[in-house]
Formats: sequence, structure tokens, C-alpha cells
Amino acid sequence: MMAFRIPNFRGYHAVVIHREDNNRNLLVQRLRQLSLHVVSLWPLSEEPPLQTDVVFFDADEGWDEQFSWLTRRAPIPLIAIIGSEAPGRLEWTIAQGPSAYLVKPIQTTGVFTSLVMGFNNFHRLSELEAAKEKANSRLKSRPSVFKALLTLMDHFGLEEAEAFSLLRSASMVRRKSIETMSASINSGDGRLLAELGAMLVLGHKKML
Amino acid sequence: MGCGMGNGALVDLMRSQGLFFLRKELHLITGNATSKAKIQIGVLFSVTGPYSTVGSEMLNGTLLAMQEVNDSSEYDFQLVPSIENPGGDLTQYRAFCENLVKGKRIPHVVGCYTSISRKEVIPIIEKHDALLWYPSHYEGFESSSNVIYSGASPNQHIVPLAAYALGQYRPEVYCVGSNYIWAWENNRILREMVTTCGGRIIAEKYLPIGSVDVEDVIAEIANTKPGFIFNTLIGESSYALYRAYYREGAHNPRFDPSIMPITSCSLSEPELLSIGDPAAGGHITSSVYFQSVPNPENAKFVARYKAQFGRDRVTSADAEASYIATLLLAMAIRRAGTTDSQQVKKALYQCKLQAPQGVVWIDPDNNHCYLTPRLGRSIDNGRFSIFAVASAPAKPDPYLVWFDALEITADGRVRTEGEDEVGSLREPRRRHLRLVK
Repeated sequence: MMAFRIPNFRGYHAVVIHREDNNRNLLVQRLRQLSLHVVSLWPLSEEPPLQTDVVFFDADEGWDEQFSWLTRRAPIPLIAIIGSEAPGRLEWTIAQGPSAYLVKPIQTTGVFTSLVMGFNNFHRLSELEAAKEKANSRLKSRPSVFKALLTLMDHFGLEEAEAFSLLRSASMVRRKSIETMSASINSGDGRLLAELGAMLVLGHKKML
Repeated sequence: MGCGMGNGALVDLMRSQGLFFLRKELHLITGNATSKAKIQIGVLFSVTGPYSTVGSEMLNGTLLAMQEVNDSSEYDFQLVPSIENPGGDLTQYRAFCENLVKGKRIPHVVGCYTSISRKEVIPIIEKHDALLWYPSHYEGFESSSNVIYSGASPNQHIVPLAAYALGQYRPEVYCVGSNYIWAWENNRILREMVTTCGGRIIAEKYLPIGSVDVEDVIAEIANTKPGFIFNTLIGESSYALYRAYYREGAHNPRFDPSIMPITSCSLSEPELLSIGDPAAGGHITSSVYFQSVPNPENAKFVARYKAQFGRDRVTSADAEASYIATLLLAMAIRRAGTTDSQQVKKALYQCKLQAPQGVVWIDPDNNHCYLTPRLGRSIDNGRFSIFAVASAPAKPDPYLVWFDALEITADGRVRTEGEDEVGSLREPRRRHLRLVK
């Protein structure tokens, strides 16, 4: 997202879930210096404003119910504010899936870094998740693709590589994924098979 | 930022000056103002070692301001410098600073030039809730509550320079710098502005600090024919570049500063003398202070500086920033009626100073200084001719929160005075400098 840009969070909306103390005051002050809009909430009795781009949360006194609202919203980066290094607290903190963390006491150095790291990690993770989803769905449809290939090999008397080449060309021409095209072939669509046969005769590039 | 220097003759000069400083210090302590209460101020500059030239200028600016305070009837106290010289040795900064704020319990330290030395002392300063008065332009992206930054932030040096150069010259830039944070960060900002306006970075070349091996760079510039050169080399490396550029110009007409200038955010008057004429002439520097600023306060400052440190000496942005830091410190102590760091800081936010560059004050948002960006073209005898100036002091923006490469370079040039009203529907933007010549 910001690989070649000077990171800038001007106008972003931050929610700080932490009870009022020097740490929170300093954090809020630093965020405002960076021109973010900040809302501090403690305890979290109401839902944070609809427009929230990033959440800072206290890892020392936080509990699960604080985050129930998050599941109803588009995902955003979470940044943990860590005081205690007790394993139980760290385990709970990790379970929230923070993209970055700040260590108490809050200092002037570190807040900007946590934003840069937080947004970067969040976006990278989101991209990885999307790529994983795509790979998984491809994996799931592998038997279906295999079955379609067998159909083409059998129907037109093709080698496996030729059958795959035909399947790929047909997918490209129809602007469909190989998996979707395979599903159509497997559904026994006779007209589709006829069209594929015509493609074979005319060369893959043309479609009747 | 930081600087490198290794000329034997200069080092000798500095050594002799070191002795000179000690005499001045003695004068400050035992001077005309013996009846006034004494306030110890820590002073931490490297006046020997690789960047001693700039360190000495900063010490000069600091001591000059102290003397002014001590001689003035407006102050009922005198400032007594407690001077430490880390000699450019990074490992010494922490110990010397600790000695000042913990050992001697001095809550105010004026000092540091390089960013890395500042990072070294900040933990000590914060731990003892002291204040570091840091008088150097630097790359920004810091804002400690225990540091007062009187030098220029990136929006006050690189941004106006790039906005001007990209409008004035073909936006194809050759970047050459010393291999450390000052050069890296400035090149990064420049790259964003250049690519946004459709230009390109031809090369980003880094030399080791202190290297004077610039012949390859000159050859590459001759081959790649940039619109202008952006120089973030420091000390001797930088001087070597200007000299080699001049030599190349003898047989290559492209190496003419009016066609393809070297631009810089750090080149100062004493460095022009180090480069020597005529090689030093014709190039462009962005700075909030030049010796040629036409203010009565500056005339006084230059005269006093020369009277104190030698008629052949020139003033510089580093000397002025140190002078500003120390005078602001004195004003804030006077207003607070105590040296307590937090109360002095609170009082500081109420202070405005008629400095040599014009009026300056500290922004309570980030502890950096409102300063007036200017562009100068080097002439002869260690002088710059100022050709553009901001219409008012610019708010410091150390994290470049208000930086927008697109807006700055949208029209690709510096606006001339009056153009905002007639030539554009947009809000007048302070970061556009007014041409004065």
C-alpha cells in the first residue's frame, strides 16, 4: 500500500480503547499531532463510531466482548498497547490478531512506527488471505477439472496436454475460469461440447 | 544532519579556535555581569573530529547568544556554558550528556549536530526530564517532548527546493549523497515529488562518508545529462563534487550552473569558502538563513560574529540556529522565572524572537520552529544571493503530515508574488516561495 510513499495518516479515524491515564493521554496527543481524529473509549459501553480506520487497545485490561462489534464491520488494523508480559495476557492479545503493538510506557517515539507497521502488516495479511482463498478454491475444484479433461480426451480423442490446451483456450475466449468451464463440461452440456469441437477444427483462437 | 571534514589545515584552525573558545568561556564567566545570578547551561558540540567545522559554528552561535544575554540589562541572570566536546565520537555523547544532566544536574543542554548523536542522548535527556535544544536542520520524523528543534524541518528545506527546481529545470534528476540517513530520507522525499510530476530519477548514487572519489559521478552526469543535480553529500565529499563539476565545465558546456545546477539543502557559507572560488559559485541552496538576509537583526548578528570570531569568518544556518536556540532558552527561563524544564517549555511557547532570519517561534504541536524558507544562489567570497523567500514563517511539519507531492508540483513551478490571486483558484499556499530577484 505505501511501499514507495511517505506514510501519511492525516484524516484517519482512530479509536483508543484504554482507560484514562498518562499512557492514553500521550498516545492521543501523538495521534493528533499526526492529524488523526481520535476517540477514546473506556469502558467500551457503546459501539465505536462507524468510521474507524484503526483501533488501539489495552492488552492489560482488555476482554473479548470489547471486540464483538468488529465482526460486524469490515476488518481494520488493531494495535495492541502492551504493559504486562504475562503469558496469559500475551496469549489473549495474540488472539485478537493485532497488526502491531506499542509497549508501555508510551513514548514519543514508536506511535508513528506502530501505525506504519500496523497498516503495512494488515494489508499484507489481507492480500495473503485473499491469495490463500483463491488457491484453496482452485484446489477444491481440481477433481472437477480432471473430470472435464477426461471428457475432452475421450470425446475428441486428445492427449492430456491437448485437452488442457483446449480447455484453457475455451476459458479465455469465454472469459471464464478453467474451474467454471470444467463445471459446464461436466454438467453434460452437449452444445458446449459441439462448440469445443468446432474450436478444435478451426484452431483454438476462433469461436463459432 | 551530519557532516564530514578531514582537511588538515582546517583541523589545525579548529584546534587553535578551541583555545580561543576557552578564553571566551572564561570571559563569559568572569565578564561584565558578575553581579547577576549564574545559570549553568550544558553545551555539547563536537569541535574536533570529522564534522568539527559545523560543530564549531554551532558552538560560536551558542556562545555569542550567551554573551548577548549576559551583557544585557534585560536579563537578571547570566548563562554559564558547561562545554563538553565529544570530538565526533558517538560513544562519548551519552556519557558527556549524562555528566551534564545527571552529574551536574543541568536541566538544559544545547547541542548535537548529527541525527545519530541526537538519538544517542535523547534517552538520557528524557530519563532526567531535561531539555535538549537541538539546533540543526535534519530529516524530520521525530518529535520528542524533551527536545526543542530550532533547525529546519524537511517541509522547510527539501520541499521548497524541489518545488522550485522541478519547475525551473527539466525534471530528470541525478541524486548523489553520502551513504546515511540524511541523504536517504531527502532522496526519498525528492523521488516522490519527481515521480508525481512525471519526471524521473536518473540515478541515486551514494558515496561512503568522507569519500572524495567523485570522478565516476561526474562522468555519469556527463553521460546521462540530467536537468539538475541533487546533492546530499556532506563535508569533503560535497566540496570535491563542486570542484570536479567546475573542472568538467572547462571542456563540457553542459556543466554550467545556469543550465544544470547542483542543488543542496545543506551547503553553507563556510563551506563555500572550503570549496573555493570560482568552483563554489552559481549553485542553488535551500536554507532558512543566509548571511545575506537583509534584516537589521542579521546585520547586528553578522557584525558581532565577525568581531568575536574573526573578520574573515562568515555566518551560517547552523550558527544562526544555535544562536536562536540559546536566545529562546534565555527568554523562556526569564519568562518562567525558573530553570525547571517543564515550566521553561511552557514559557517557551509564549516567546517570539526577532532572529537574524526574521521572527521565529516554537510550535507547541511538535516543539519544532517556525522558520522562513529561502533559496540562494552561491556567488563569491562565501556568499549567497537570495532569490526566493517564503512570504511568512512556515509552520514546521516534521512528519510531513501536510505534505502532498501532487499539490506542490501540480503547476510544476514556484509562484511569483501576486500570482496566487490572479493565476489560481486554489488557496494561496505558503510553501511556494516568492521570487525576490
